[in-house]
Amino acid sequence: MISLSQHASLFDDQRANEILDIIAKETGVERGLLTPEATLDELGIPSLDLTQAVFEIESHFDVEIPVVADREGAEFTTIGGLVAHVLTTLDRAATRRASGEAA
Amino acid sequence: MRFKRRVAITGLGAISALGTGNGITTGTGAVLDAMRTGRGGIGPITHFDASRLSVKIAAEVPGFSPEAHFDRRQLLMMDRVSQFAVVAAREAMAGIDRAAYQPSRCGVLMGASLGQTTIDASYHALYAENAARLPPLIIPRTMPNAPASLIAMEFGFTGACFATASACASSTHAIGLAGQMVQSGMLDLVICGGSDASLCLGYLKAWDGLRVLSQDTCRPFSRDRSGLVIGEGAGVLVLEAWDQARARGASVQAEFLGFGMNADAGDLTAPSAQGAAAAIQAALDDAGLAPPAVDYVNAHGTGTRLNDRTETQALHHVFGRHAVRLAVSSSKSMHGHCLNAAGGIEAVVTALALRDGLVPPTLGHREADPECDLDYVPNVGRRAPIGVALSNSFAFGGLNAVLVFGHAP
Repeated sequence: MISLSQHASLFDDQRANEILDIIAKETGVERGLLTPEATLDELGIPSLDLTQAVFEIESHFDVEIPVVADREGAEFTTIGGLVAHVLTTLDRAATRRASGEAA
Repeated sequence: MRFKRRVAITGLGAISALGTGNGITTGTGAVLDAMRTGRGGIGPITHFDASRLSVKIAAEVPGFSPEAHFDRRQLLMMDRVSQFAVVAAREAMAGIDRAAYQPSRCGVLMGASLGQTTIDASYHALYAENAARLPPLIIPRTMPNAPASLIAMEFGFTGACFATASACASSTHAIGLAGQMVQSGMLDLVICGGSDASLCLGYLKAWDGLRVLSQDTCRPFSRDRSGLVIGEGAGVLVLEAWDQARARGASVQAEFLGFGMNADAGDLTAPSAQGAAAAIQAALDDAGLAPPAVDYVNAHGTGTRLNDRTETQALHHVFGRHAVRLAVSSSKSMHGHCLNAAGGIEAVVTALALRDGLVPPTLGHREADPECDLDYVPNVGRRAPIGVALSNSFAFGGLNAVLVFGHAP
């Protein structure tokens, strides 16, 4: 589990800002309410809106984001968790691309 | 005989090739205007490149702007078929005070209708453009009950809600069942009808193969008729328990009197005069009316050789000597064959005919056919008081459905 303070630092990442912009646009939730600890439940974000947001994030970064719903530690409970999950995926994809290019 | 409550038709909504409502008139106003003036909505296909079709005409809804009715997030969930359904339902509900009803006593019954243009576009992206992935909401957008569910969500109705599937009789079945649910006391108010938006290459190419489409135009009951013309749109009615509607001072457009339905159990596509006649008879029996009570029939009248002949035979069979006194017209000659929405739009036409004493014309009629020898109100509508009217739907699958409406006293 990533701690809240780690989330806060994650939000300094420029990519996190882009992710939050997309979530705000697709869910209709005010950008300022998308804090690391805010839960999707509290924000009233329905699952289909989240699915649409993830689709747009995938398009934006040209990456496939695996969705592991309801797994232990439920990554998608909070905005911070979601952003962390996307950033991890982006880092992994970048590593894969780099090694692919090297090979 | 079982107890039945009276049923009032208190709201009408339409979107069709005849118009969508433009601030000056409503979608229903556009239908009424076309009935008066004999204006048709069939023309060359403009919404997509039809060069690969052998038939290049349709009855397209002109100038519909989804953004004028829905925000971006709503539109992610809504195929064109649902957009039509909700816009027509809003028109039908415009004058109705919802506070007079408990949400659990209000329902929605719509003809089942797939989101064809969304399916077409997604398959194109997948097969022709090798898309790696598709937008995530295609399934909820395209499911055949989406129009019904989105109407229920729009109005917060929590009573019975589902979609009926019987091809070109789907919305007539929906309206008939809705009427019976109000008659029985199961519901007090039902939004019912149908919506269809299937004008896309993949779907029309499939229709091309059946060789029932006209390259010319829709000429029901005319000797030189050459087939049907596919249209798009929505037709929606609000049915309410009569006493409750009157108590709240509703303006009643017409009365729902009865409904008949059956199956030919013969051929999957060829119509049966016997089956159609039995459905008409069942509808009259349900309404408790003798054949001479009927003044007007909104025919299924597709404009195919076979339908128009068998429908005429069925009318002769049921009405006997009274058949020649009926006014029979096919409004498909104006708004095209709107498939899953056909019965809904035609029920709106039938209710308007009763309300305003206006018999709609059969457009494109050029030549009498010895096998179609009734009064089809050729090309020009007429003023005439109508006491009782039928709306016929005889669908592929051999599924027949007939509505009986009456002038509201």
